[in-house]
Amino acid sequence: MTTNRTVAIVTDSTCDLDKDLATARQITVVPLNVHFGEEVFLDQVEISTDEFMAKMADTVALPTTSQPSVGAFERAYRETAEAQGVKDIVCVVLSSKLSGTFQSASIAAQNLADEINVEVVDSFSVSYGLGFQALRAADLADTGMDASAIAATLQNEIGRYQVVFFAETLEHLRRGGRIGKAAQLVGTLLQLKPLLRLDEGVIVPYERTRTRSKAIKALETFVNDISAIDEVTVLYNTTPDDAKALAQAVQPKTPHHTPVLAKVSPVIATHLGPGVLGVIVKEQTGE
Amino acid sequence: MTNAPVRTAAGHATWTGEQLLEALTFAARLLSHHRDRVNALNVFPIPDGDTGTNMSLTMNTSLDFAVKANATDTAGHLADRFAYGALMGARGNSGVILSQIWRGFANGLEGCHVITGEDLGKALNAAREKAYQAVMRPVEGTMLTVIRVAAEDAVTVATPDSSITNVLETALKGARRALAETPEMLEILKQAGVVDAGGQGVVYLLDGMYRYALGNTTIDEDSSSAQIGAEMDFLDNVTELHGEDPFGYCTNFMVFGQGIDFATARETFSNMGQSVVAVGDDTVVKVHIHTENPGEVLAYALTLGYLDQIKIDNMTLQTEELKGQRADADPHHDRPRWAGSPIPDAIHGDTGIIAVAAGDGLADALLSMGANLIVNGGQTMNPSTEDLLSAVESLPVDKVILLPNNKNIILSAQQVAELTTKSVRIIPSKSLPHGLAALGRFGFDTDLEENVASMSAALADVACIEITTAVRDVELNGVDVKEGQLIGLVNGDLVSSGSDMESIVSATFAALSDIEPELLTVFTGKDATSEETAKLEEVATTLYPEAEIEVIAGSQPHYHFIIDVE
Repeated sequence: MTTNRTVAIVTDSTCDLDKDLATARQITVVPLNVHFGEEVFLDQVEISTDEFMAKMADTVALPTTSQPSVGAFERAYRETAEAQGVKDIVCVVLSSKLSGTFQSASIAAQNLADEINVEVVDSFSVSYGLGFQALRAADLADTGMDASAIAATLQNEIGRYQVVFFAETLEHLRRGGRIGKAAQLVGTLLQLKPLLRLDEGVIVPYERTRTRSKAIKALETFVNDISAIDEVTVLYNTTPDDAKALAQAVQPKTPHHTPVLAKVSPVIATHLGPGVLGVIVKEQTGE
Repeated sequence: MTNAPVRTAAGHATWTGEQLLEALTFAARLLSHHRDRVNALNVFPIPDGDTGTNMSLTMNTSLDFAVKANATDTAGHLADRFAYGALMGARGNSGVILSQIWRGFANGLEGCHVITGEDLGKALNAAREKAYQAVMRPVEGTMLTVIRVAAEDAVTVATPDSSITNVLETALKGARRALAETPEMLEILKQAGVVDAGGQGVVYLLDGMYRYALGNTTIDEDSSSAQIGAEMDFLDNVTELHGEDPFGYCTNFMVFGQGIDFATARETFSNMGQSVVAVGDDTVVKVHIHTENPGEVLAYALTLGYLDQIKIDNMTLQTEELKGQRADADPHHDRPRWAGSPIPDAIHGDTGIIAVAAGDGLADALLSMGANLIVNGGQTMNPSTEDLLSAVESLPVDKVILLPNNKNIILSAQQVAELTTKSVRIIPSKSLPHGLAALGRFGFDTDLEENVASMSAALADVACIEITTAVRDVELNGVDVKEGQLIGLVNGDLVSSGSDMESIVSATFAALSDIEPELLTVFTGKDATSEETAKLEEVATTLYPEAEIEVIAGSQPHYHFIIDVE
């Protein structure tokens, strides 16, 4: 399927890309780690979203996460380069403001600098905001574009991807230290379904809705208010029906693509908890 | 509250700045004297910011500014400073409209060294114009109508030869005629069988100026003792009378006698302490006084007759106690009255949000939803324009959104926009749930106008239930209310009354009719008992088994419960 490719694409497991899609587009996915006490699982490899949610509900101690090791990235770079017969790689990973993954990927790239040219790109995003960028990188690679040009294009287009979501509670974000500027929302009102968005890689409060149905409505409005949309992904973990309904509601905005339903990876679910619903929008470019 | 006789301008064809100040001072005194009567005309039975109180406090601030500005050199200058004070002191909608009346009045007198009858006619006419401009949709049957008719009539007699007295007499007659017609113009007044409260306030002010012109500045003490008692109770509740940190003994008593020389008695009492109020006649006098020596005051009172209802509180101790309680509850208790929270560094982006609330729990909820500063106030004590302005100026940003959270504060908030170089926008929020809903829609990275639009739109998304105690008898919307009964309101409309909390709560929820709540946030007031709260929860759970119910200690005064229905 890839004819002109001279560049391989690597990303991490928080991209929430479906496994088959990643394989089809020859995107290598490096898993982060999920820890339940002493137990360690490779994200989406050794533990699926559904298994994770069940385990989270059953376990008293809350899970934690860790970035892939430098070694894991080195191995992924080597194996990918060898398998695809290329010397150049673009590795796009989740926001450096949320995880040390970018650091691991960069150190691994430096370590292999003599063998392979790896352009590491900070997506300033996560979940399908990262997934869209990995797919975009694969598309660009298919056109024969070289690694540095792909990296530069991704960075120029960071503004195309909008990530807005809410969780059942802010508690997991707070305990995981990822709450960012939404910290002030934790307070008097317990019943709060605040919408959060990623802004330059950091979680910021968007709107502060108080009920689930209003939060869903607000996600819908967010999508409908964007003028030119290329694709939309609906993100969820425990509420597939809400996700389907939301996908249907925003379908008219993307006549050429059916909205993808994506399950939140265990790593992200660690920080958001259950009941997550979100939209990830890829805006059209001016082209 | 001094009762020193006012010099009058009887017989003068014109008024100097000094005389205008005296006329306004007497007008304020007359209004203050009748404050309770004006308050009693308020139609709604809720303990809301009362018209008489708001107008009277606005007048007092106006006088303060005018006196401090030393502006008696010309009448025009005096009127201008007086109007500026009115603007800063404006409380409640009636205070704001009054401040516009004085602004127009001052504009009409611009450049006048002394005032002639003709000038006064012009000034009243300018006052009328300005007052109508102040409200977006002027309603007839209100104080606007009263100032309009007064001005229209005054203009017809204001010629170069006319005297001030003549113009004022005509204006006053017109004002009284218009006031009497207000129930015909506004259905709600007719239902309640009263004239418009703000209009009545305007009549007292014109009457005060007219009487000063005549040289008749004694105030009839025609109050019955019941009325006096009511006045005293009311005055005791106005914290301002007691100042910030009063000391000494707050002493209240009644003297019953025969042939009491009331004027002399009042004069004597007023020299014996601070915050002195003495009302009554030759058979009964009720006294409120702050003194360091209550014995001396009572000894003098005994020379007038026998004493009753003696109540003496040690304010020094009370103040200490209060300070202690405040310090325990809140380490920031020394902050200014309008400053709810010392968090200017929490402002994210270039827009600050100020919300009005009474009650710590309500303030905390607003802060957690993104307000940056809380101005104390709301029901019964509406913040002045100056309070709101100070809050706006204190934020380290140039764009400010104001949430009045009360319909009687919206106009004062709007005035702030004209008094500052900052860009101030008002969201017309009429309740706490309105305020919370609007805050929810604030986008940190959204521009000001877009935020104002989406925050204003959010007001339609919530319903507000309030349970409070009626402060007057009334029949409204087919609901018969007796003073002291519990009443229930939905979005500000009276829907139920009675004495049993459980049935009031049920009846009020029933009035939500087609709304199927997902979330009820119950803010419990100072007066709500835990039994009442438990009952309310029980009723709500039975009616709406699917809904989440969250109970928060709102600590608001007067309102047992404020319920945010989402």
